Amino acid sequence: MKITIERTKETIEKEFSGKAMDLLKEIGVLVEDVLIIKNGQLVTEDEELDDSDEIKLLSVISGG
Amino acid sequence: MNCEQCDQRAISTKPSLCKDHFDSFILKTAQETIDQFGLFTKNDRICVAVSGGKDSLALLDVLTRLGYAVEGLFINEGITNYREFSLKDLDDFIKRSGIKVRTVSFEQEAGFGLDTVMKTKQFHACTVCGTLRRYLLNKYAQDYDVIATGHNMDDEAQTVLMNLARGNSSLFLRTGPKTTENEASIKRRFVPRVKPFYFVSEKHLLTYTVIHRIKTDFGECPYAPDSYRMHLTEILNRYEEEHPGTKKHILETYLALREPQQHVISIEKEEFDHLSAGDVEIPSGKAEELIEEIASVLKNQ
Ligand SMILES: [Zn+2]
Repeated sequence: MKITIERTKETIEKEFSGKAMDLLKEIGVLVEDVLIIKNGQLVTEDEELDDSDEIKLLSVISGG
Repeated sequence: MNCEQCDQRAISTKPSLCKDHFDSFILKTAQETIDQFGLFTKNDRICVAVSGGKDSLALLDVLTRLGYAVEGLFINEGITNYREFSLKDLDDFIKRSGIKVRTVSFEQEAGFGLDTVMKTKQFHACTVCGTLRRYLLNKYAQDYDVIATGHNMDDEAQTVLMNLARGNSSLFLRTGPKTTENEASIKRRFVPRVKPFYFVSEKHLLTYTVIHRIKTDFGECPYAPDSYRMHLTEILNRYEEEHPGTKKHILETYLALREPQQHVISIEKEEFDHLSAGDVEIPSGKAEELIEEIASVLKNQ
């Protein structure tokens, strides 16, 4: 799975399938801090993710 | 997860709502805040303080959709590689929405941008920026009934905790969804400040901009990141995650404690560095003094 963290422009490759909230827990990101975009679509933290999904995390905190 | 109100897929949680119901929820929350605190009416002329960030663009959008007469005022501080991005997004937004946004710059008004001031290494970025922004906003909003800012529930809960934790007792009771007018503030032609997103969380605001494709792809201010506020943000978000409703409860408790008066004040310089822009009046004399001081430092270099 390819995970892009928009704020730091960081990309992580990681094997994962399961709930989005568990993925966030694994990579140490709070649900409160991000919006989850799965294959270009806004989803909630209880969305089931597949290893082939492309995930983008939009940072809620960015000032302004 | 499905929407609480229909069988569509939810795009938000707390509450779980689909795109359409989420959209109505944001409009409703803003409208309730406007009505509950008497922020303004359909007859008022509203000046939205535009930062180029998501909160103020969402505010322009929401207030327009609710049928209010809004115009924007954008203050360009003159920060290279920071404002250029937001200006581009702002231009896109103006073109698409047709909302009138006026631009005023530090450069035009004071003769220097923030970059120039910071090169002297003699001034604190937040002090200069905050003082001039407040001064210019008030100056150019004289024809309006209120200045509306995009401050959200997260900003406001942080401010309450910051004032509490730092012992800023004179400021503590002076934030809130609306500044109160009194004789002194009217005499000084201080335009009241209001915050229609007082009870809208930052996460929900970002969600709103994403579903409405309001693009605000800009970085963080290169000067003096407010590390104290950032730290509080982290703590507060961790707390909110484990105890949903924390931010709202902080504000509700705060408002219940607060006397609805004496919000308009002038304050000491050191207290004011890390305030959010909507909170206090800066007497124009103070801003003018600061502009002169900076100009004389620049002249002697
Ligand atoms: Zn729905």
